[in-house]
Amino acid sequence: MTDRMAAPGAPDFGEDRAFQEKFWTVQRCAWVVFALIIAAALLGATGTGGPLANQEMQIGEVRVAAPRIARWASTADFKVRVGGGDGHLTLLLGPGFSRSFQIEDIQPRPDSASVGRDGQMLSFRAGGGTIAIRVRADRPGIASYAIGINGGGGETMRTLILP
Amino acid sequence: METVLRGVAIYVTVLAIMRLSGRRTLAQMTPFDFVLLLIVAETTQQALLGDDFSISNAVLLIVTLFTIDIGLSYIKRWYPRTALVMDGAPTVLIRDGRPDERALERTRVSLDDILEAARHQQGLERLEQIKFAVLEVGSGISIIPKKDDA
Repeated sequence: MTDRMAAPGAPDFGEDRAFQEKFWTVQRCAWVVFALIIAAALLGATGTGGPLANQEMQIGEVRVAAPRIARWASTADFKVRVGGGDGHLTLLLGPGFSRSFQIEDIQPRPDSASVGRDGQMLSFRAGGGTIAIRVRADRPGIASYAIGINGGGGETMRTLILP
Repeated sequence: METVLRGVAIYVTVLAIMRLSGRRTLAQMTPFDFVLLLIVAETTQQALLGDDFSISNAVLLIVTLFTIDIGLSYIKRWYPRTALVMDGAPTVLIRDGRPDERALERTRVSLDDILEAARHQQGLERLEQIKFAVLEVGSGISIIPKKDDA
């Protein structure tokens, strides 16, 4: 049985104003946190668009755009912008890539694809334009993978995959 | 970013449609109205989530929707005119025992609805026992009985 202390003659509403005052303060602090989360999301800190959500890397004449932050079980896009070259491009996706991502679609389709110890090798006829790779993140955590162009050893990129 | 924008778009759309569809739908909710609400919820789910079923997306979406709600509650407090536009104002349906036919017609509330509320709230049996009936902003019809019958 609760110990209720209503003043004699006063209505007993079961009010605990002291607790309520503290809880109102906690609520307002939480609202500030909510606003900060939304601001961070608008900046891209939770992925899916926004200035922080993507990263870019220049490898020779090719510019690779990759997600800096992605979400588990959700799609993300990699873009390989080809500046020129001899009309032929090979793209190496290191073993870390397939550990963290599942490729859902590639546009245009590669002429050939092979897999080895260094990862997946995709060959395209591309003298310019953009190769788009849509992936689905397989597991939460930090994905670390190498991306190589035309036989290069590969530059390491990292993507934070949120749960 | 996309999640926040989706949340804002759906919140504004649902708010506008609910407001424009009239208060009666929520005040006198029938079983069909309830089913209709479930269908609306199911329909908006796809637009809210897209193909992103991650926990981050769900958390961000919930935070976004609640924060808009909190923000709007402050805006309505600071600018009462906004509250009037968004929530409306109470509508008197019976004034001093006389039904306001125009208000009844425009709010799509029938005298049967008022009598039902009168039976539930005050145990009243006849229309003549009602002094005021008010369609409230958020909680149905309030009945104030005539003093003699109270």
